[in-house]
Amino acid sequence: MRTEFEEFALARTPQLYRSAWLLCGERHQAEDLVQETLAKVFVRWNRRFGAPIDNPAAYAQTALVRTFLSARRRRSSTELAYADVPERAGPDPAAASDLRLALVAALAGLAPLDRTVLVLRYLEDLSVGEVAERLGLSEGAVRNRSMRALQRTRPLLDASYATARKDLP
Amino acid sequence: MNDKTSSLLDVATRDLDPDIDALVAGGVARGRARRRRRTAGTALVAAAVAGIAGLGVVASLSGADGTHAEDLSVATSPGSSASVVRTNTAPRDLAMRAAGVPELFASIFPGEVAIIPGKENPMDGFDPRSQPLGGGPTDRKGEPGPGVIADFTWNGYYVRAAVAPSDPAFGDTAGERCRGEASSDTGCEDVAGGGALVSSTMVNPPVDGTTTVRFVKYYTPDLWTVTLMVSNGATSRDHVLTPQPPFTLAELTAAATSDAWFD
Repeated sequence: MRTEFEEFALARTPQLYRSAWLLCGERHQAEDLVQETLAKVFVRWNRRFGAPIDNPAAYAQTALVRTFLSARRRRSSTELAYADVPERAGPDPAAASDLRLALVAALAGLAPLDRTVLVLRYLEDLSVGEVAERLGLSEGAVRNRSMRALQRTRPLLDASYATARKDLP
Repeated sequence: MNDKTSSLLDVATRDLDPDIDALVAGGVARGRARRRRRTAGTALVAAAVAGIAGLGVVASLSGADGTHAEDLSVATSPGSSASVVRTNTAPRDLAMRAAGVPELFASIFPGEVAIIPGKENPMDGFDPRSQPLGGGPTDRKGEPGPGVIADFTWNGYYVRAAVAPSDPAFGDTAGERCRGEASSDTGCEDVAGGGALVSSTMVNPPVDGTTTVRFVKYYTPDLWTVTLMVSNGATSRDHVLTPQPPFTLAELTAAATSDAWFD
């Protein structure tokens, strides 16, 4: 029988993984990021003291982006994962799409914080104020970073958009 | 452009197919390991406190206030297991609401805790910055949010425990804020890892019951303060139970500098 936390995690993990994949641009790192995030939420969920989490989905999303940013600040984050997670050897199905390749290339040119702002604003569809609160930035800083990220990625995203137009709703 | 970006991110990630069950299982396993480490860490602080207790008893028998230097040398040495080494990090979240403070205190110092009549409402949202002598509310990024404060008894002795933001009016670092707030009597001592500490033992005048109160305030590197105050009476000002408070400054320092207060 699943615990309440496991039910929550099963429901939220697909969305967390989408954000993680865009932030990391790579499957293994995204999987690692999601598991680290779930571990943090698990500890908070089961702690003895204090009130329960008010909004677990928002808490998990915030934990994900903060974990990503913390890891990027550490020196080890410049290393690429390669053989440490061998359980699913083989080609990365996520890399099979030209759209994804273009997107990864566009996002890779951004600073981690700019990338995070972009993901929160346009994948998670959060307002400027919500992004500012989750990242500990001012709203002005979020707007600036969002605008800068869009400007830098626009050429690649425009090309990708043209390619992907047939897939868009 | 914004709609296009949203659509692109959505389309590009819509059919990603991770192994959800494996990710959740991995996350739960890591979470359990983290929780075990946290529990072990709290137990380590409690054990360190218990180990120091013997020294504290000997010292307090030889004269209450003379224990200060010996006490602090244990907890503020660079290798102390109770010291928090943390620099340039965002403020941590609190591990408890105010109502959970007595129970957390009892997890460090095993004993019976009880709310003091007349102080039944431990306070969430405690923020010295908004008080008349504080630096005023701050919207600066990187500052801790409001904290907690609770008055209670531990085995009958009065205890006050508070975790609150330090005051940005005095500077940007824990050391600056500690020195800014500390009186010339107590001074301020830097702690390995970027924190700072004020401690004192005070004997109240007869009008205040001649109680002895030990006080430790730890300024964490991420700009919180952890304050612990314990009296040898049932309140801070009367009903003296024993000649000395139940904890030495070293024990209070070990507890204040522990990670147990934070997530």
